Amino acid sequence: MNLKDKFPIFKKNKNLIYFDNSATTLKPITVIGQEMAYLTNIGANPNSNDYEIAIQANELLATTRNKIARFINAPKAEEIIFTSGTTHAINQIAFGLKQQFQPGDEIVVTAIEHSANLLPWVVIGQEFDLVVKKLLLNQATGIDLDQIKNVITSKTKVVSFAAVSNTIGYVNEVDKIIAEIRKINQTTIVVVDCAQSIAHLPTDVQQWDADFIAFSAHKMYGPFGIGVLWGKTEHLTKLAPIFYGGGMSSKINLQLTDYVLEPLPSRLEAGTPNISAIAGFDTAIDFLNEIGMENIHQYEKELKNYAIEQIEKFNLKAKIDFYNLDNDAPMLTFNAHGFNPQDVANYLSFKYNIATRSGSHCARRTDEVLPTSVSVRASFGVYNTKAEIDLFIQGLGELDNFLDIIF
Amino acid sequence: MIDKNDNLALRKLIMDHYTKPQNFGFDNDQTLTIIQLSSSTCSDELVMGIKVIDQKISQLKFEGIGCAISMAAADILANLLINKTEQESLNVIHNFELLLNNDPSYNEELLDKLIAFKNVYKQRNRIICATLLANGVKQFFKGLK
Repeated sequence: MNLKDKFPIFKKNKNLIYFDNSATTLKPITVIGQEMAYLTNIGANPNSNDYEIAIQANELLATTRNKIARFINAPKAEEIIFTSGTTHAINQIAFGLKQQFQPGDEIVVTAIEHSANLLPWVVIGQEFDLVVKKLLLNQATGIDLDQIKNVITSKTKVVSFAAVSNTIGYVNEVDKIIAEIRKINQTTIVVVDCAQSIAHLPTDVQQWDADFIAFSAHKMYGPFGIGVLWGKTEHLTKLAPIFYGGGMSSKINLQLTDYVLEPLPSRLEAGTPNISAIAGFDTAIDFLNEIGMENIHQYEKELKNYAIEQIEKFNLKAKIDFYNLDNDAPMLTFNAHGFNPQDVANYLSFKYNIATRSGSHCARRTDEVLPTSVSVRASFGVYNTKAEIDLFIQGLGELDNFLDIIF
Repeated sequence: MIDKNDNLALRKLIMDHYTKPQNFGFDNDQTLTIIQLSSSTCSDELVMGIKVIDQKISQLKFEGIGCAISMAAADILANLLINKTEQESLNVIHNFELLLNNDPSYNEELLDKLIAFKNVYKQRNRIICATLLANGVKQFFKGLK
């Protein structure tokens, strides 16, 4: 797979080795072109519909909604709610459920959730006197299927977890986890944060039997500022909107004391949508579909396996702790003995033009399962190659020179 | 005075202060004023402890996890600021900031070993590391007013 030609950023930065795909993916020329084409050729607000370009705007909105529904195997296109991204989507779920919480209800998360799937629940927990609990993890930091029965109770209102963690990358068995939760409590609402899985693995909300999922276009080769909240109709219709405004209200009474909201999806999409980004999002889905999600999964797995082979070959484990070699998610999380992660990441960038990320990766409780709160993360995408991994391995072998960056 | 052109010596200086910092640890000193030093985009999580007696810094310590640049800069700066008044400390910090921004008007004498960070300006994202403790000291003095 050589896709670099499709990504203009590599024309400007010829030697860039981009291993920060968990933070965001780069954008193919088709996606950039489509967003620009919308602004150039259509430009209308889809809340209007009385003239040609506004009709085109509405058609684009409908087409993209349909395409996304098929991409995640959602039964109905109106269950696709456009949001600004995963963070907005999870906040909409958490705060949208507030009328359904009783004091003492339980919210269940894991210790390795991204802040976007942790902080909203902590806040809602505080506000409504709920108990926020954690699912137990197995040795490889995935959700431990056998322990689910010891955490879920009749009071568990919500379970929210990432299909793939953004720090470790363990690929959770979403369908089995949900089945296990349902065995104990059939009314529990299950939320799956798909931010890190959406561009790397096939997503099937019906096979999973999830209640809500959330993801962002920018992590799937699409534009920034657009994402999706998907939910089963029965749950979306009960969700209280967190934003109110144009496009979602069908009636407000004369006394300004009552209102009626539009049906789905409009009732959860107040205001003008980020329609130019939606145009790019549509093309990003095409980009992924053309390669095929199963092919992407296989290719990235191959990259990870190759990295593992090279780590063994050069005996890097002697001086670097790798935390996730036993899962096939396309990322490596590690710490070099005696080196701060930021020094490592900056050296890789300075010497080899390799983009990785250091820090806590916005997952503040990860130190419960890793021996450290900070690490370096190298995460792969469709344009990465084995030759790039060779350079990365070479860089890891010579970290003693890390102060070169300031001399 | 260290030779600012002797890169080998400067490297060794940074490594020494990073791996064997002289001002690391509060030793249960309850009289220190504690200030959190961190930035949302870096992996440094340092905590600073400071005490001023007779208008001079008598204790300046730090704890936590930091990169080589933040730890070494904190350690060297802490050594420099001991027994200095607010005005003197802020003057050293001001000159350090000039150095980090590649402004040649800095006073090399005042900077002493901080000159080892003469090229940090080339790594714009690391200026924040080099100034973590300096910013904590500024914050402390601001808080006193």
